[in-house]
Amino acid sequence: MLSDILQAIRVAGRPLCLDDLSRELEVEPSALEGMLDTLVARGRLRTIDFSDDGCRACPVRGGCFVMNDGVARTYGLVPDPPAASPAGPSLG
Amino acid sequence: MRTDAGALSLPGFRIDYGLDVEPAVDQLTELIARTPGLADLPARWLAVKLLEGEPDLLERVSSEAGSDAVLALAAAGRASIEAARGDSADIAIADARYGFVHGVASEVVDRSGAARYTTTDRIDRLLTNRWLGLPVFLVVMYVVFQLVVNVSSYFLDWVDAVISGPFTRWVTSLLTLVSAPDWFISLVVDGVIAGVGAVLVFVPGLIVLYLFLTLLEDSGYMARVAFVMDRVMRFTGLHGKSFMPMILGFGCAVPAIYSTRTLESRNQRILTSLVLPLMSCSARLPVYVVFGLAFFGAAAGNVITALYVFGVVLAALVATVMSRTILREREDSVFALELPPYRVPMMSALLRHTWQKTREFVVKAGTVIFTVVVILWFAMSLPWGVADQRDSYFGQASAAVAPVFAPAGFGTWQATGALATGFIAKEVVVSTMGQIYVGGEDGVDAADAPIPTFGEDLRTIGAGLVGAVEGAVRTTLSLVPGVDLAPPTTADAEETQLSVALQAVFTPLAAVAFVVFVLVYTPCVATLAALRDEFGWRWAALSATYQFAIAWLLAVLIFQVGTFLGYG
Repeated sequence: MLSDILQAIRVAGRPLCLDDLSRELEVEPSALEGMLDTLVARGRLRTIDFSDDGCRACPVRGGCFVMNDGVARTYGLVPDPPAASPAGPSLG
Repeated sequence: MRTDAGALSLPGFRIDYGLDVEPAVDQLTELIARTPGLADLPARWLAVKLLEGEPDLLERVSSEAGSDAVLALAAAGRASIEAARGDSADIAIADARYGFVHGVASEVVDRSGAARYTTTDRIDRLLTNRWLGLPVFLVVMYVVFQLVVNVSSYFLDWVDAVISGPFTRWVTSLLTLVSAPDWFISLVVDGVIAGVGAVLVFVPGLIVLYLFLTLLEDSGYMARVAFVMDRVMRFTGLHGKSFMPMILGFGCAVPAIYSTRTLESRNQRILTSLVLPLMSCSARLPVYVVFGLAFFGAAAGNVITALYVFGVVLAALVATVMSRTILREREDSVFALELPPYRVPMMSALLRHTWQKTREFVVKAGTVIFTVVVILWFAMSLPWGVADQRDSYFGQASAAVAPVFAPAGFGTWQATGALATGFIAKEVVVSTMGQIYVGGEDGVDAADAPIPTFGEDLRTIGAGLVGAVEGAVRTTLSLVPGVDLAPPTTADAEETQLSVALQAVFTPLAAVAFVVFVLVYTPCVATLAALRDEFGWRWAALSATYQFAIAWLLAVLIFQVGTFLGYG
């Protein structure tokens, strides 16, 4: 599943948001969240926070793709991910 | 961490980590089971954790006698997994674990029996209806703008009275008391207070606008609007996703342009970014309100709504032309939007968002606009001692350009100067006019009128605030059909000092031409900078050029046709 996420973003050639990934992989967003957190913790993905991109001044930001719950969390590939383990927190 | 191995005897299932991982797990499990110091931990669990590179367990194992072989085998296992998978071992193991979970969920979770028609679905049947969706949206926006204009006009009148009356008087008295030079008093009163104050009087109106737009967003309605608009958008050549940046454009074009990054196609991004400045950003609202109240009185709300709709229609027309000419799209991509469920917005979040947006506006007024009005005051005061602002450097430069706007009915140096400074930021249009038309006058108090005491001023301010709150509440309640609590208002009650001054220099037709020009020409330099950042100078230049050309043509058309028809 994790490799599917990485592959989906790689194929898209751009960062994908939670909603996009959910549709692409046909997996519930809530199920994807843990996987995405894992990939971020392992240094494979980075989160892209649009909320710092000038949106705060905007009166309609809550209605936009950038700030919607599913899209506020957008993930991009880390160009040079950590070479190998050991790293990152326990997955339990 | 110590674990009782006996207590961890789990029922018989285990995750199969796959051909690349399982051999390493098996080898390591076997070795761990033979290592005395590690006998208290479940061997397979520990093997998996060591292959994942779990730092705590690596440290724990390394402290046990005879663990060197275990650690070496774990390292070799990680290397072999990484070589086989082309990815780190921990990712491969987590991948298998999530795959297992996904498989179990797919097997056991039955979604077919889920409630098919939730409250959200029922509301959506009306709000996203093929035929009713768009009219409902237009009615919603109409009500919002009516509220913005009608409710805020009471507060607008109050803030204007406070700034132009007691506040100006107090500052003048204070500066006179400390023997400030006349030029400095003029800079503060005619420049800063008249300029920044002219913008700040619109803060109540913007609070109302921000409050209602936030309400629409937080409730989940705005996402529906994008869905409803998709069909309309496609006709214009825009993508359904383009609608959200365009809605953002009602707030500020700059973040709206950056938000086009959610569109896949570069052509679509450029097309959307070129037309979204035609959405009336919140900085333009003060211009609409001051002209609306000055020339259209009680109909100001309708006029302002019409201006917003006109901006949307114009954007659609421009997009239709551009998408069929310079920005033709080869492929049509699918628009899929997951609509969030409706929810009742939390009051605290609503107020916090409104406050944040209002603060941004006030900060902007305190920085950008303050800087511009100070520079402008000097430009209107130089050469030093100039008696008539028309003869100042600013007046002369504006007068030189003014004939360009003569066919549109506002070929005065004052209007031209306001439009020129509006290029920096649209809020500055009103502040410039405040400086030109109000700053040079004596304020609200006639010279021979008795000057109120400080206490009287405070009482007047308090009474004004109570009256504004009462008027706003009554007007809001009167929007409910069948309820009429609105206090009788006269046109004067809703006019600012600036509105009165504008009536003397603009005809109603020229005023319409002027606000349409303000609607269409480049919102601000920050918008151009955003366009340049995203797409380069050529597209930024095209945006500025086409918007100026259309703005001028429309203004001329409105004024000339209106005059021909006898409305001049």
